[in-house]
Amino acid sequence: MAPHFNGPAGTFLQRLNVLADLPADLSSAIHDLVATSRSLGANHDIVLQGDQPSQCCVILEGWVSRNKVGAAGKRQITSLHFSGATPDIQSLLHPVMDHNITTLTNTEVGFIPHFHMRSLMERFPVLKEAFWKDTLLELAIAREWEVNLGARSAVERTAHLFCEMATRLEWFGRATRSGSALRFELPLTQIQLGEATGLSSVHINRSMRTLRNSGMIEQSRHWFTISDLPKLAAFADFNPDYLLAERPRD
Amino acid sequence: MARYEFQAVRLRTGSTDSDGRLVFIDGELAAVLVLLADDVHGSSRGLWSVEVDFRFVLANSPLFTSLYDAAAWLQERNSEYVLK
Repeated sequence: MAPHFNGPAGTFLQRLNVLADLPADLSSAIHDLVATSRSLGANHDIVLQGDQPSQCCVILEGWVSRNKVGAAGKRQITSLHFSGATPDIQSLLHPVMDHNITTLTNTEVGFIPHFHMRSLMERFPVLKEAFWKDTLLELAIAREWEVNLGARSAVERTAHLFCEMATRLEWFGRATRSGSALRFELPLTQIQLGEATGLSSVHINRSMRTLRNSGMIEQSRHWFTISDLPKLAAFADFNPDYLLAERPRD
Repeated sequence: MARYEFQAVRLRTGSTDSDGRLVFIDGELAAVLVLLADDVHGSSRGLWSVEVDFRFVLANSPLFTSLYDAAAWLQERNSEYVLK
């Protein structure tokens, strides 16, 4: 399990430390930068498509989605991020947002002005490597989500999403394992699960029911238990190799 | 005025949503509707859902209280959708 960092920037440092070896003075510099944060409720847009941010957000606690809204008003969630993530770091290099970042839960967000982030990256090049690695990880996850949309059935893609989130949460120390079972919180509504898997509410309802009836997933509101992760992974065609950048080193 | 016809069919959806209708618009099979019956659908039970729409394969559809409303919506969407 990843070592835990304390203080307001704890989750951010915990995640960065998995992506790269952080020197101690970088940790203290980052603590100072995100010393002030904002508490946002659920369904709050942190940045919107078309925005030109002058700062990067750091998700200190809570969940957000990247999403796009089609012309007919239908929303597609293109990725999910939890504590420690910096989902709009790309705004450093790509000035205009091409998607929205929206909170899914109550969220604690820190903001680091671009000029601070740039000078930090100049002082600590290891930070550039960490964000590069994070970008590659995001691309790898996006490729799997593409396969979900194009090449997996409704039940398989739902199961794949659960395997992915369970694995990432466990590596981050946010899932409890007993034997081959994993218990974790995934605070998404059924509609949001559908938006992340490209399924209508009717089909996500049926898929979740199939997974519950088969005994592969137990659900109590937003708490889920995967009873046998290797078995669900085999069913969902889930191989965690694409997530390895996020796996804590032993 | 388009002509709507409905033919009852049983659907194998892996749930208790099995009461279906083939929807013909002017004699052409346009869609398959399903009556939501399974308790997983909560307050949407009793509404008609578009299971398959042969022209708009992946678009999301609303739910309908009557077969006629569903067919009228399908027809309207078909006639509005013109590639320019």
